[in-house]
Amino acid sequence: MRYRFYFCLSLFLLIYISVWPDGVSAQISPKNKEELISDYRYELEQYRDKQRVFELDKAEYAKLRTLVSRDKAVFSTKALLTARATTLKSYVLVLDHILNNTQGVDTKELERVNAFMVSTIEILDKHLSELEPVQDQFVINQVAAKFEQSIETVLAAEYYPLMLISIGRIQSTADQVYIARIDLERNYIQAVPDTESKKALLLRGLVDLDSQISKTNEYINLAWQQYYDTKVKMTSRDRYQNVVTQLQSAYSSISNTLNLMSQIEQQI
Amino acid sequence: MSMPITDQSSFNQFQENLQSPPLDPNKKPSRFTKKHKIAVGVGGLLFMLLILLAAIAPKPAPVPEPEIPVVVVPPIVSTNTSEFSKRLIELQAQLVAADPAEVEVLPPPVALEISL
Repeated sequence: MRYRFYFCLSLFLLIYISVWPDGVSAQISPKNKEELISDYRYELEQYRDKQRVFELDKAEYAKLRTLVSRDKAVFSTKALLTARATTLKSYVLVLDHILNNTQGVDTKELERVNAFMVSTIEILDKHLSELEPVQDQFVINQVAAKFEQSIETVLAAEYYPLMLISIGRIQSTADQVYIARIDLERNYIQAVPDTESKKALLLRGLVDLDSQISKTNEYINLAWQQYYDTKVKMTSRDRYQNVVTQLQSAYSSISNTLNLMSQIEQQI
Repeated sequence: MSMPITDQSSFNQFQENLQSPPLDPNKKPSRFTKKHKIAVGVGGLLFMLLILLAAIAPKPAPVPEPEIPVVVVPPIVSTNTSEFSKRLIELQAQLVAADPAEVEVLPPPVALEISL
């Protein structure tokens, strides 16, 4: 009896060890960015189709007020709400993929925003399961109204990842531009003999370069301030717009830095 | 009166037979002795231990590649800046990709309030 037990235990361990790594890797999303974007665009197109049908059926029901037209309108409302939830879900999945593959994203904020996305997916799944059995006009309006209470969470799951992606990309580029500026000085400008008047000119160019880099950092800090600003109550969408405005300035400043760096490099 | 004389050895045999369990006349004697059974048990334990060790044993470290001798290159002087130009072009491309106004996918323009 005891030997059988050992044999079974050994067999179980063997099978578990060989299967376990696949089990973990299977949890990772198998789709790449392009596939996720393609899924999202498809769902958005479906939503648009359903919206056109919904508008027509709703108008028909408002005009005729018959039982048949009401059932038709309930059916198309349900289809539209389902398509909206599916579209929003596919969009959050795209953002999740892009955000978690963007360099320079603040780790602490990444965790917080990931939590927004997870709770939004849960809200959308729950909404979809509530919609499934609905056949009645009153109930469908109730389910739709219930979802509207979670709109701000859904918007946060859309706009906070976008803010982090935008800040992360600009920050990452700014960091690399700064490294290039150090290399320019160390490997090129310092190599120019002190006796040449050209060197003084190049060093003056570096001062202008530093001024641009400093401006870039300032704009990125302002973008973070807008991101964190909780004093002014605003929607996630408005907050995103404010962050983008600051990042546009940082973008221009980095562009100026690169142009200046190119001019300096040509003078060497 | 003298006591009856008894055979002591046959009496001991009788006692042993009384203490041992009744023998099944149909049961065939086992081919495996106690030593065999112990050997199989120890073998099984060793096999299990081997599997456990294989599971928890750290992966062998990759064989270090032969070290490439470090060649000290003097800093690039004056006009030889083509590498840096390429780097600037790459950074420019990276900046264009990071344009905050040009995100790959903006939030879907869906109606957030729908009712019949």
